[in-house]
Amino acid sequence: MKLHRRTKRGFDDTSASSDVAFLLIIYFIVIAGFNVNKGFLMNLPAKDSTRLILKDDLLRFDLDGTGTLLHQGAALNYASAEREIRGAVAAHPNLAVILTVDGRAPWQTVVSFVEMAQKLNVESFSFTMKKNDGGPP
Amino acid sequence: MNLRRNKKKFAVPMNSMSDVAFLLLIFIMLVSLINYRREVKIDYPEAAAAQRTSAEKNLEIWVDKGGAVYLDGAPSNLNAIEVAITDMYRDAPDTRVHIIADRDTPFAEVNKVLQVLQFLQYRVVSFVVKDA
Repeated sequence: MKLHRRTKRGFDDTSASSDVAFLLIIYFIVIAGFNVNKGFLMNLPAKDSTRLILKDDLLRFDLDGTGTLLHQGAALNYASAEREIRGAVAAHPNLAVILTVDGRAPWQTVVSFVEMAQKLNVESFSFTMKKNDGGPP
Repeated sequence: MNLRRNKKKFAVPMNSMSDVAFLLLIFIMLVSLINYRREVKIDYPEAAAAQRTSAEKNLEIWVDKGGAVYLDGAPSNLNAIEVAITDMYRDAPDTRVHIIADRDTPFAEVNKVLQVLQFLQYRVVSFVVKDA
């Protein structure tokens, strides 16, 4: 009786090599996803730069120490601020929005306003810290 | 009388190749962990309309709730950050600066970092957030 001896196949002939390659691909795809930052790109103005803006094209907002948004001294929520900006953009296409931030305001409130400004495609948006900060809120 | 000597065929045992590949896989995984990004424990600010801002080369400036500053995950200070940005800009001008601050960090602490960037005329900055 003849016994057929199986010939041993090499690593490159087996499915093991494709499995390893596939695992490597999955691993590197997963690792690449870990180091991705999401956020907002901002163009910082040059130091001590000045820009002339018409008074009518200027819309000012304030953030107090607690993170409350103020417009012309009155507190308002982000939905109202959005409506305000939309109306102003319709009337003045070259609108510039300026946010004056109290130094104690939480970063989240600033980020939320930046998000809103980017969403509304405001032509010119900048924020600055309130001067003479440090007094009682 | 001719004696035929059997020539031994030299062959690499292929069965062990899968083990070698597996060891290589483990080795590569361990090596990649060495270059792993160091994170500072913060609560990210949230935003719904965040976009991907990572560039090919990034420099991460972290600001925690108490105002402590970290450079690429290592504790640092504003002077060291100024030097690091200057060196980085000289070596790779296309490096993107990411500011990663805790959601409760007072704005004054973040503004200190922004003033350093403005002083160095570094214009494009990314504020890192988490998807809401």
